[in-house]
Amino acid sequence: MKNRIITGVSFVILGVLIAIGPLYIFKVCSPMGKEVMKCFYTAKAEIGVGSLIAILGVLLFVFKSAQTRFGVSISVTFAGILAGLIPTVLIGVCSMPAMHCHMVTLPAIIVLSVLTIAGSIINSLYLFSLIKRDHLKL
Amino acid sequence: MLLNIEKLRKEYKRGNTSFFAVDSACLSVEHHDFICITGRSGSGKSTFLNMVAGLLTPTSGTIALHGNDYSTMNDKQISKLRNESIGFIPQGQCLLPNLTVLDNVRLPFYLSKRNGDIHEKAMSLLKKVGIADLADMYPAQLSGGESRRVSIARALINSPSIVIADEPTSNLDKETAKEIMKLFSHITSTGIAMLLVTHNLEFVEYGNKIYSMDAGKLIEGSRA
Amino acid sequence: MSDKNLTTIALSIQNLKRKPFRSTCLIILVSIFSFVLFGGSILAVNLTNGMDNMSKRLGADILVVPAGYDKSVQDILLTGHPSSFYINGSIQDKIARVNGVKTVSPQLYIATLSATCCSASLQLIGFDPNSDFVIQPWISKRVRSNILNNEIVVGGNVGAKPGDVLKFYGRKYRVVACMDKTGTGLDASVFMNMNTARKVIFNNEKLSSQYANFGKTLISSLSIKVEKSYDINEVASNILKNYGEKGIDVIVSKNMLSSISNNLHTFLLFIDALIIVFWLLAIIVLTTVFAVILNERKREISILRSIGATRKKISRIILCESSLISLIGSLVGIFFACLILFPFNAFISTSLKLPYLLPSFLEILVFLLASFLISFSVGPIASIFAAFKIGKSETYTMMQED
Repeated sequence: MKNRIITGVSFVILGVLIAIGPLYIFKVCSPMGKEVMKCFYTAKAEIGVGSLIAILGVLLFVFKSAQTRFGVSISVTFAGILAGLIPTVLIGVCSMPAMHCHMVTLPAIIVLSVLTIAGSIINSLYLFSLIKRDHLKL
Repeated sequence: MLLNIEKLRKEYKRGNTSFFAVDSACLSVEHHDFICITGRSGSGKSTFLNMVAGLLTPTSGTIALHGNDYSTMNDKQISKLRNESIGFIPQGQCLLPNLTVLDNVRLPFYLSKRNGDIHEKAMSLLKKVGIADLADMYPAQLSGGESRRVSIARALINSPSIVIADEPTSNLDKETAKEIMKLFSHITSTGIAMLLVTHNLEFVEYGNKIYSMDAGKLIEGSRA
Repeated sequence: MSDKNLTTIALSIQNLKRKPFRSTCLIILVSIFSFVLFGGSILAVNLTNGMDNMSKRLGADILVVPAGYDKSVQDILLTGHPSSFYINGSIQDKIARVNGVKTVSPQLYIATLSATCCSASLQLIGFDPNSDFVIQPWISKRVRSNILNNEIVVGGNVGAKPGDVLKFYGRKYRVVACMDKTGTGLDASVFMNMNTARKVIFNNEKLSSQYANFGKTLISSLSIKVEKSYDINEVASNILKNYGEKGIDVIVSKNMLSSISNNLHTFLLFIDALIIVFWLLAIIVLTTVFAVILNERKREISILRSIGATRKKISRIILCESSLISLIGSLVGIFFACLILFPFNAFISTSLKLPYLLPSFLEILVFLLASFLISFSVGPIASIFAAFKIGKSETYTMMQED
């Protein structure tokens, strides 16, 4: 139960931060007239990935079975990788290092992505050990 | 002779005076012996037992197990002897709280840097003492009697020559205490010597030799 | 646990797992210390590197700027905050004749507009390749010959590479080189020869009418090298005495540097103090906690002894537990320090408004290892006394004391 609460809440928080952070907290550049920058699209994409991570966090809390939670945890890992790839490789942010999106938004998303990946890997290893232990008991 | 104790003494200082908790105790133990030592509280029974187990250094006298004199041995050697030849059951709660029942039983095997799988033997000992189904429980989840059974299984894991038990039936109800004493009898029948301290005179009949401790002196008694 | 050997490490892990709250708190304590140690060390070395670079880049003994713009020069150097200020270039020859002045070289500063998206305001710096002794020697490490007209060299934070074309005030300029990062405001600057820089102003209608009164030879500042036998402060005050009414200010570089370095010094002292405080806190708290824990665990230790554990084994278990706490705490602290310091490097640099430059990868690795070893040692140091004491106690006495 403790594991379900801790992991569920953690990934919901991380997911929400990834989703809304680029828009409201560590903001990307605002569109200038008709011109829309890459970082704007990055923020939009992160809404999707962040929401996915948050939903997976809820599922980690809801499901009791260690096997199901193991599968969900692996999914969170890949969602975290995707969250990190969006502002770096897939879409990107403004190229100039002095821009706010480059200085603040990009590192913030990378940090959240790393935390998501690290947390989900640790959780997966823990759940795997639980599954192995239950399997040995049988 | 399995265990030979000659003129064993333990002196303690209390303020400006000193007293002997154990005073010139002599004892010989053979295989198959079941020795019960009785006495009032503070008579020196536990002190005597702990010296025999090598956990307390005597002031004078000799203790020799399998001919090995404790006074010639260092901590490593005595610990090895205690681990391999003695199964010690301390007074009171004597399980490690952070290990499961099964791990508590297995632990002495690994203290002597041995390799191998002791899992089966540990399970079989737990079965013998009647609590194999509690293997994955933690000590906090056990009753007094169940804990005592686990400590007996642990004492037997390294196939000792002698089992030493300090008040093994304390805090147990009569029925459970009798079951524990029966287990000890069974152990002795397998060739392992038993040296037991109890203040309950009812249980001395389980032994083939009876001693009493009074003011540090070990006196041989007789069975009624 | 049931199918594994009960080694010292296995026993220690199990002991820590069964007391999750206590173990977590101790790990957090060590991780806070290792975070402060590694984070503080990197912060300090970044600031020191930045300061060293800044004093190299300053080059000149004296700077002559328009009156009231001495702070703007500091801002350009420290934060790269773009600025535009001018004086009439005719003052250059007059100052060159002042006693003690060895070399004089002009610069021209122009702040660009951030008109297009994905661009921030930049500092354009025009210099005379023939007389310059600050920028030219630095740039010549990257560009073999003098910069031609309409060619530019960009600082490390401009985000352009050789061959790129940048546009300022409606005209295009080709990037011929990109400089390494210096940790100073020059990283957000664009360097061009004086001709090109003046054309930026005069080819732009708005700018040229705005600054027409400074003449065709307008400049923003003069960098002055003083003869070795002259006192810099004396030469500076001579310049000010003779030409102060022309609307100029004089900055002695050493004085500017020392005031920045005093601020830095205070900040670094604060970091050092913080590290020491946390180190002492970690050791004191851990020592106290381990002493209390071991007192509580006398019974457990006496049981281990009674089943054949040697004194050495008991000490090893205790040291192993404290080492595991230290190990995990150190790794966690350093991990979080890396997560904050490196991705947010640019943001920290801008926020501190001090010269700030990351060291090489090898240097960072050395700091990481050193921080890890120091943090890791906290646990064993804290438990060594308790382990030693427990190892020496008589088992039976411990049982009775419990």
